[in-house]
Amino acid sequence: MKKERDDKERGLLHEAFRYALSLSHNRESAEDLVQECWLRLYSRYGTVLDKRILFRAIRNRFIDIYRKEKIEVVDADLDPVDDKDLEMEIEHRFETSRIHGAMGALHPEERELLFLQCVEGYTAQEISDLTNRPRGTVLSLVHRARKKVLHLLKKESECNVLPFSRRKTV
Amino acid sequence: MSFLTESIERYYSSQEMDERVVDRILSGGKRKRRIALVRRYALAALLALSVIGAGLEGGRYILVQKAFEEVAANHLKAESPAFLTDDFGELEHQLSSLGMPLQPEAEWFSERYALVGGKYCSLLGEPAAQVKVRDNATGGAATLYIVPRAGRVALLRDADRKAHGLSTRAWREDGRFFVLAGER
Repeated sequence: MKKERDDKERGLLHEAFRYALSLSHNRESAEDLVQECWLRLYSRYGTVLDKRILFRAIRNRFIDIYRKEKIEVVDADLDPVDDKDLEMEIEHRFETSRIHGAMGALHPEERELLFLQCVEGYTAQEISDLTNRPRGTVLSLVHRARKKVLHLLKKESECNVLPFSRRKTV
Repeated sequence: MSFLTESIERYYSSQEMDERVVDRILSGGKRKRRIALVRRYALAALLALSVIGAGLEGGRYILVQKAFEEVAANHLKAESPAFLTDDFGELEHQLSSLGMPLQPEAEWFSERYALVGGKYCSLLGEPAAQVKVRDNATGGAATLYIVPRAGRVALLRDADRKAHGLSTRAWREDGRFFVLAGER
C-alpha cells in the first residue's frame, strides 16, 4: 500500500516535471516549480494525488514568476509554409535535440499547449478548461505553435547542410 | 498521429526528473505532512485547553457567585457576633482554631471599616470567620468572611458583584480569601 502510493507519487512528480518543463523550458526552473508546488499542496492537503490540481498549481506559480520576472521570449521568424508538406519533409530528420531547440523558441503558452495536446493527449476542450482560454483560442494557438515548430525544424535542417528533400507519400 | 506530435511526445517522455530531486521532494513532503499533523494536533490541543479553560473560568464565576450569595444571605440575617471586640488580635485569640490572622492588610479596608466582633462559620464547606464590621462612612453594618484558601476556595479570584441586593467584594491575601458584603 505504501509502496503503491510512493510509486504513484514518483510517477506524478515526473509528469509534473515534464509539464513544468513545457512551461519554463529549463530543467532547474522546472524542478523548482514542481518542488514548490508539491510541498505547498502537501502542507495544505497532506497528500498530492490529483494531477490536475498539481498541474494547475504549477501553472499558476509559473504565471506568477513569469509576470514578476517579465521573461522575454523571442518570436521565431515565420514564413508562410504548408504544414503538411513540411511535416513530411522533415519527418526523417527529427532529433530530440532539434525538438528541444525548436520548443525553446516558442512562447511558454505555446509550449504548454503543445505539451498538453501531444504528451497528455488532452482535447482542445480539456485544454481550454485547464488553461481558462476559449476553445477557439486554444485551437488557433496550437496551430500557430505547430507551424512555428515545423518552421524552426526546417530552418535547422537547412543550416545543417543536409539535403532537404521532399519525401514522397506512399 | 502526426510525426510532430510523436516527436514532441518522445521528446518530453525522455525528460525525467533527477531521482535525487524526486527523493528530496518526497522526503520534504513527508516532513511537511508531519509538520501539518503536528500543527493540527497542536491546534486541537489548544482548542481543548481553551474549552477547559473556559469551563474552569465559568465554574469559577459560579463558585464566586455562590460564595457572595452565602455571605450576603448571612449578612441579611443580622445575627449577633459570638465575641464582641474592636481588636483583631483579640478576635484571632477567640477564633484560634482557625489558625490564621484575621485582620485584612488592605489599606482601604482598615481606613473604612472598624471591627465589631465575630464568630465561627463556614464558606463553601471550609471553616471560616464571620466578622461584623461597621462602615465608618455610613455607620452601617457589613459582614466580612475570612477563609483559608483551601479546597474549592483556592479556585476563587478577586471580584466585585451584587448579591441579594448587596454590594459584595472578594479579594485574596497571603493564603486567605476575604468576602465583604454590605450596603455601600
